[in-house]
Amino acid sequence: MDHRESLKKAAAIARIKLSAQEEERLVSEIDEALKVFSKIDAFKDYVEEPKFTGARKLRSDSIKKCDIDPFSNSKLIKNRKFIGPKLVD
Amino acid sequence: MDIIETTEKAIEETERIHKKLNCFITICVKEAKARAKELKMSKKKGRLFGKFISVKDAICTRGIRTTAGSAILANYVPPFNATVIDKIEAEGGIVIGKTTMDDFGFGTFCTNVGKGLPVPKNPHDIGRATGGSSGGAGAATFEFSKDHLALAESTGGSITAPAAFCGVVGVTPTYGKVSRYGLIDYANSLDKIGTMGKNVSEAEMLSRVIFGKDKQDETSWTQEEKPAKKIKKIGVIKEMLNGVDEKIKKAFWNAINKLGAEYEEISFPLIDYSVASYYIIATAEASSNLARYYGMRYGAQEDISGSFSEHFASIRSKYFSDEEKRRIILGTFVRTAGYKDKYYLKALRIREKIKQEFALLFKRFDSLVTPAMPIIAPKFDEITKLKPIEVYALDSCTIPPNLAGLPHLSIPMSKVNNMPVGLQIICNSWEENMLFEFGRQVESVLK
Amino acid sequence: MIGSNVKVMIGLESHIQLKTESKLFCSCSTNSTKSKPNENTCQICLGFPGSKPTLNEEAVRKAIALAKILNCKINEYSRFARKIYFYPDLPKGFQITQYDEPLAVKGEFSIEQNGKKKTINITRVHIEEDPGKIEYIGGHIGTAQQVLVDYNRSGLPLCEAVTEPDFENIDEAVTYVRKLFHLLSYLDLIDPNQEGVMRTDANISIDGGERVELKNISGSDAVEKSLKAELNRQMFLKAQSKKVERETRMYSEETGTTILLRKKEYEEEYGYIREPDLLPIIVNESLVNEIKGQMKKLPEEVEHEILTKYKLPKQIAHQLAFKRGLYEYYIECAKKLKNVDLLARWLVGDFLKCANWHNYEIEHCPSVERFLELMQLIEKGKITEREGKELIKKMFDEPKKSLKELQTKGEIDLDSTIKTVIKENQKAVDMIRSGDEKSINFLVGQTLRKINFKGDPNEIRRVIQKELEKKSEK
Repeated sequence: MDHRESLKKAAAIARIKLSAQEEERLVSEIDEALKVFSKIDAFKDYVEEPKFTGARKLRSDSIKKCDIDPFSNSKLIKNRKFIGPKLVD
Repeated sequence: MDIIETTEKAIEETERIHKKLNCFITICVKEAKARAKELKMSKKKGRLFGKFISVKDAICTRGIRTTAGSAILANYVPPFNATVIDKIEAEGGIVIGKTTMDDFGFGTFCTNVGKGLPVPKNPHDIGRATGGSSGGAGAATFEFSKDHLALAESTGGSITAPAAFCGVVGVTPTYGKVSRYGLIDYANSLDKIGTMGKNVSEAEMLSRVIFGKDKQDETSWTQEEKPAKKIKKIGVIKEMLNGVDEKIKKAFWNAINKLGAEYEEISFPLIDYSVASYYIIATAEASSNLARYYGMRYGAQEDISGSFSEHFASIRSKYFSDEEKRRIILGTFVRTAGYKDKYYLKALRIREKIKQEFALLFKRFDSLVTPAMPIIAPKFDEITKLKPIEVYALDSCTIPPNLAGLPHLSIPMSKVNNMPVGLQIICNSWEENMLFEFGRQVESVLK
Repeated sequence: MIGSNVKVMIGLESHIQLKTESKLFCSCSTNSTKSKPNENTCQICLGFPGSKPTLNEEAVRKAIALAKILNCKINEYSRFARKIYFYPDLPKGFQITQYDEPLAVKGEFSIEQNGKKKTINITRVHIEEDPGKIEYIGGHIGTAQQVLVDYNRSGLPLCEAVTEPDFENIDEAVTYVRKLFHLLSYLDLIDPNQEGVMRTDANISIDGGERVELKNISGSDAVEKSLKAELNRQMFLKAQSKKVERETRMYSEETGTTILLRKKEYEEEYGYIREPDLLPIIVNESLVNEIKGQMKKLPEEVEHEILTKYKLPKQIAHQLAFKRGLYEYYIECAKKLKNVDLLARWLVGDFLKCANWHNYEIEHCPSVERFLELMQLIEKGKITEREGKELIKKMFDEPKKSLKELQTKGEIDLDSTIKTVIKENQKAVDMIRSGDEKSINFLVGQTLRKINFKGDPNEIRRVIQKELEKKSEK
């Protein structure tokens, strides 16, 4: 089963823009890998997942001030906010 | 020699090794010297005092560039430390450098290194790859003369492969044994931080420092370890010898016969699904972990233009490598509606079943032993001829224990065509005591 | 225009910010009212590589309480999932939420509409994190060329409550949102003063046609406006024999209409996977009972308690019970005042009137001590109730002044009086702003009236002008 069309759609969803050559090459390579991986179709067992039983202590609700500089790795800042692209075309 | 002098010498050696083998992305000259000064003043010693630790570049070091081997993080400087780094420094260890790796861990040879970042060379033959993705760690561990330990990471075999190819010991602990807080994620349910050393004792020393539950990582756990007992019965999984080079197989059986433990060959047919199951789960998780890299807050940035879909796609397409793109696309595909049941959910069931089967095997055997890798370290030009699916298939020995989250060691076994080959020993979850004990046994026998 | 012969179907998804000290997955403060942008952030809620989430215990407890209010069945075992999509306010590129294993399912909530009770079915309740807040540079969502993002809100704990499409008209939907908001703030599960504490997505369709999703509506007034705007749009299309497309839209305050965000073909494929960094949530019956036991009483229960304990008239008991915090306030006052009838009457009368006029919660009103001062003066006959009515208004207007100062008839606080006059006469202010100078005379007159004509009209005019200039600079 050829999955190339669906793979191209997956690339678009993942915001990966491929050139025509990249598309030809990469998508074919992935499709080839998928064909091999499809052997798992033959596995039909029902598997019961064990329920997690360990003792679990959740984080208590107290405030801890963080000392990192949120802007340390970005130059796209304005008025202490992060600049981003527009939302609609 | 005091710590300041030894540190200077260690830095010199690091620079020499890097020049020869290309294994460091960052050498922490300033930071290591500062740490040495601090340690001298504080007079505190700790278990790692006098040791120099190289850290795989997926592990965050505060104020020190951390790239995860990827061009999209080429200039990223984390504002916080990974928990393992805090632990190492608390025991007097000094971080000497950040070792190179396949981008985000996507690779078996350490040739998928991000553009502009160094591809490491094998210390036994610089025309060959080191193995990946912890390639820099493997090369550095072999080449350092002394007092060096490597912090590495494995998702599907990224500690075992370079350990085997470079002829050193690699330790991959039980999943959850070491905190992943501060580890740049490849696949969260599969990533494990581990260690490399010239021998089992060295690797164990660093391992013991980093073990332990961390409340900042909910998946980390401390479980009561059973004391080590003598290995009496080992199992050899027939299917895991398929596809292994004949000479390596021969070396493997030689080694087994020397061990002095009773062994039995067993069949574990489900293993044949492990590579597929691994790649489906790992890429699905990876595609979500890499969704944060789109040119805001950190990582590669460009001036904003166009709508968010266009701008994000432009950055990601420019800075991600071929392999990053392949895995993101594959990982996105296997979890989308219409394919999710067939791929992602099925792969999860297969993994669970494989875990359960392993658990049954460990009722009969104290340890399972396999060759570490099916081939010796390939030449660089051989690698370019391989198709991605052919490369993935070479993870067939390392994937099963990684998929099941079992602790395992790779120990130098012998040489084939003058290149090191490794023996992989696997124990049951949380049996690190037994693993190290057996490892020492094997090591002394195979010397 | 909105004909009653159209069959309307509305379903609501409410995103409710639970009241906790710290965020859902990190220890950053949830209160950013006095904070600079991106001040309450850390590597976790900024999505820095290598960071990992840890679950907040109080958020789980409050979510369980909320699910109980909606009469849901709490699942013993629920799990977090990753909802993966791209948006500037989503720092990790995915939202940690719950997908096929939510916290609670199958509940119901009753609302009263025109004296009739109606049961709204609740599909599910789950826990998820809030994304950051987007500011549109130069315009609104449709026209802004860039956006600015503040991640103070990123990681706040949200409870999502999804209804079946049981609302048959807009009024029912608005009643539900208002009742839910009131109840949640009454029971201390949300902070009613927090901006955007309850945001709703609405699905609306007419005559069995395609449903349109309206996203991110904040507050019940906006719910009403946006639903009406969208209903109009759909009815207009219908009148032109055009088809309503399945779309995602957003209400724009500026245009008063809904704007297209994305069409069905580009609908995001979220590709949910399990969240591998978090353990499952385990809720056993004893925990649910413990939480139920700790919950505050419902307003109906409080009303009943007041009736039996204090034997007050039903209308008064109802008002005391339903205003959050008012009953506690009453109890405190009743400790020091003999005439509890006077107290009750005043609290649900002028006190409540002032509070509502200012849109205050009890915590913003004059303190028990201050109010008691006033009540004691009236009880002892030192001032008449009529004088008290004037005084209480001043107490709300000028919280810093003591009762004695307010009583002094000589002193007139001109500035504050003028501020009140301006606030009360927006129409005149608008006219002045659009150039009608004469309207300022009206404001001067209103001010003079309030101060018993004990002031200089020219000075008053000057102060009014200054005050208006100040306001337009904002």
